[in-house]
Amino acid sequence: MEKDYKFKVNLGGMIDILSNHLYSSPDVFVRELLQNGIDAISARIHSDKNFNENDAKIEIEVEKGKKILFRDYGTGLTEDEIHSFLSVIGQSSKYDIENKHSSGDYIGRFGIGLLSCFMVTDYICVRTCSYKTPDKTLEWRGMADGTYTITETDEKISVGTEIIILNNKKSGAGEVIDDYYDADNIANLVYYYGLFLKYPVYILDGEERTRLNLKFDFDTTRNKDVCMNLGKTFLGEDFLDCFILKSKKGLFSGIAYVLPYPVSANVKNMHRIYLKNMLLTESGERLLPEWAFFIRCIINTNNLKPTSSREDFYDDDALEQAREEIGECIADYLERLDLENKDMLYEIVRIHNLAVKSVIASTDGMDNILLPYIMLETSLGEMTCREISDFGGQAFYTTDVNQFKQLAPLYSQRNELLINAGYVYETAIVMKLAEMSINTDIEKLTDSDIDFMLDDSEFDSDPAADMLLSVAARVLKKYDCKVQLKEFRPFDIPALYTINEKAYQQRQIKRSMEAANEVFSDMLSFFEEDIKSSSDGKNGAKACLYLNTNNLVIRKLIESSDRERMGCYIEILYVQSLLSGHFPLIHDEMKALNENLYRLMQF
Amino acid sequence: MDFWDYQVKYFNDLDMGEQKCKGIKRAIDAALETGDINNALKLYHEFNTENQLYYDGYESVIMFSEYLALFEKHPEYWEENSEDLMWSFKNVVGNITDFCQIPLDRIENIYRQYSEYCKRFNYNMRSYYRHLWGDMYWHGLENFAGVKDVCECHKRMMQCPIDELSEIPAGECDDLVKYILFVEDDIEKAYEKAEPIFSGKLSCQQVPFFTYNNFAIYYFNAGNLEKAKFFNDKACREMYTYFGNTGSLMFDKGLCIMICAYTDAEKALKILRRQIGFVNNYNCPFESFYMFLGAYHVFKQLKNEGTSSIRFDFPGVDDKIYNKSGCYIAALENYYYEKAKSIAEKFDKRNRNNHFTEILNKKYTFNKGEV
Repeated sequence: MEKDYKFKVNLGGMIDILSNHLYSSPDVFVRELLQNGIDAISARIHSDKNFNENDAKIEIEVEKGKKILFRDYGTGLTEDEIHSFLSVIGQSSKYDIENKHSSGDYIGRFGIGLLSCFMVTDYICVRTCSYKTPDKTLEWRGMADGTYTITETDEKISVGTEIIILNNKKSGAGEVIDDYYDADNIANLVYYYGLFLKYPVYILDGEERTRLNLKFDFDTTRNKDVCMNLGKTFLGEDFLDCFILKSKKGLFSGIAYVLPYPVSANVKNMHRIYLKNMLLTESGERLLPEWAFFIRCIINTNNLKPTSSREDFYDDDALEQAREEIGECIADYLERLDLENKDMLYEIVRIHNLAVKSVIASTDGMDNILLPYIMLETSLGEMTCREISDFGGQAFYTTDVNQFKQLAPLYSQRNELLINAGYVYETAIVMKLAEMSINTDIEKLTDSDIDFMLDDSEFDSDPAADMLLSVAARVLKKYDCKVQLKEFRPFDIPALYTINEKAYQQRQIKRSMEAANEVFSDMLSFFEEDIKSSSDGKNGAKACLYLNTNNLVIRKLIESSDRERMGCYIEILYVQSLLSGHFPLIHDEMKALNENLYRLMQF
Repeated sequence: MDFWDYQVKYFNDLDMGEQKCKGIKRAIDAALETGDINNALKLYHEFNTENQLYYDGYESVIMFSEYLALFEKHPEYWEENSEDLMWSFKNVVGNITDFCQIPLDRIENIYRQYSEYCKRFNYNMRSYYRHLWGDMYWHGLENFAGVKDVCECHKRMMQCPIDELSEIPAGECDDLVKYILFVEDDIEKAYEKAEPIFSGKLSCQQVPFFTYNNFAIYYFNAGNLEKAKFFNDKACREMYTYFGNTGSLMFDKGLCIMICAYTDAEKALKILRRQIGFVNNYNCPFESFYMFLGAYHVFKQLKNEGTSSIRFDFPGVDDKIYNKSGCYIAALENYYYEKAKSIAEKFDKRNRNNHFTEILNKKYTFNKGEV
């Protein structure tokens, strides 16, 4: 025969689950009580036509080390409601009410909030008077072992609910629990969680009454100074700027702040996120678009679904929509700056260079606004894309940082523009700039451009110069370095060493092999072989030493007929050009420098 | 100068990855020039970590021998620097198989030398077998470095207790889940073991991204696109949040993009745009292969959905692919297929199997039929 059985719930176990697994700290019992109070007040405003909204408030009294009392002037509960909602775990009065009203004013919905008090006490007393039965005050006493009693009490209270918790927790953290039974600490927790709650929360000390939360409305606050101060107080930064976040679909409202220093994309940005004006989390980075890591915010939402711990949101369509809308708000802000406050936009782009570049590289639509402000390294110093675009004539870019460093001085001498697009996102940025630039024609630098920039030497096909070239080619062969005669400015540079990425790697491998033990040296030889085997192709290793025939030393060398001396000088010039290009020397090069200097002394 | 001074002077403010690596290299040269050996050793370790975690790992493999030689030359700094050295060595061992230039027997030599260093500095072989089983699995290797197969390798790993060269708990947990998913093929057990990660009890910079991604790959391979999408969405979000702007983890990102291509091709393209720039200059063939694979699947799917051309930052000028109004999707699909294919062929030649070619040419079948 089939029989129905009911699950039994071990309340002690439940409390352990709440305190150790669901909630991050016992602190949250203050949030849960505030939440219950605010929801009860919202329900009363909806249901009790005689209720004066000016009476909507929460009061807290603390007897140091002994007792905490939370009082709200909400709906209160009838006996049936006590049985249904206070004594059944997982059943929330707000859930039922929500089915009837779709106001969405309620913060809680899980029916487990009151249980969180058992993290700091073994005894909860709830005195309540429902607006439906204003002459009747009921007292519910719940114990941590799962038992409870209900009695009607002669001690009448106003319509609403009082929750009393006593400092009598037997097991647990001792002194840590004592800290909660302190007016200052409770006030701090109210300030922390409920600063923006729309009904006043007071702490009472005898006749004295202190309001703990702000009169602040996310939807209407527009005063920039107030917003900046809030940012400084709650996010702990002197922000560069702030702007209002407002969802067109009513999903959120709040304030976004621009960080005054660069941050890495990997740093978790902390935002203060409120759900119906109650602090939900300080680490809700999922609400912002991923690229907005230069922004922090204080934000309130009414329509996103919290998880049961109420410390994060469900990852659903509403969250996705909110994220998109926040992205649009940031884009609108940047667009406004472009029209109204260009200096600020320059500053933001300067500080958050990488973040802004990543936005441009990965999203369409922001190019027109942000691209002109991006700063790039050029042969004529740092220039914005707008300045590059206005420069006029022909400009080149290189995706090789080493090549840029070697060639920039030459371009600079000729007042020509070479752009360094060697770092991440910069190739994409420069390509977009090339498309948008009207006055300047921007093209990628090729080997023939370098040859073109370095003028042909007047010594071309001069037999003396040919001899120098042949000696140089012989001497530099062991370094896999080609040699050419050219004329270029500045005159005082005798030789210019250029190298592509593969050749740069090859140098690094050689340097490592010099130090390596047998096993690693053997392994490195395969990397070296790999580079050599690809050297015939377009992307192979290429290194070239350009000798400047405008330079007196080179001219003197051409005049010389002493091949041996010539070889010494060439090798020294080669090493010198490496040093001036900031290339670390490998052992053979250092040795060659010393040996050649010694030989010259002996001539 | 102390380490902090080097940091401030040479690389503190630089962007992560490629740029920071260049800065640290300049700091190493500066320390060596002044004979500041202790800081040079620390900077080599810093370089190794940065290069491995946020870039392609190539230079850290190349430069490790300099680090090792400097360390060996200066026993006075062993006590202070041996753990750093071993972590860097571990990183190199974890990466070396991903370079198809290196023959398998040379890789076995590196593994052997690593095991000798583990013994010398009193570490057990857990980290050794951890990398070995990974290499054997992802490269389809058997009878490698004296171990018969992946199962035996993992068994040997589990026999070694966790030590100072082990990953943090989140990493160890993720590694176990990966083994259960891909080798034991036991989804229920994988869920059970992944619980501390999914519930948020265990996490680190890469976890839960890796774990979500592995579940997505598992379901994707099993043809369950719905579940693959569920985990892929989570993986994409984690990836975007923490690694969106770093040129690292291209293997994981590539697979993530590949799956996303089948669930939301536009989103996959968006992620790809952000990542592909890194790979154009990448020197790690294994990681590049997976990003090219991801790119190939994105363009294949976009083509199947009827897109013919898009604006795309294609490296260099190629009339077949790029013109001023955009890039041809079919040409991009073919380009990235060929890029992946050329790497796959090198790996398969080196590994003496068809592992990578099979991955590249695999036809995925979902509930709705073959895609």
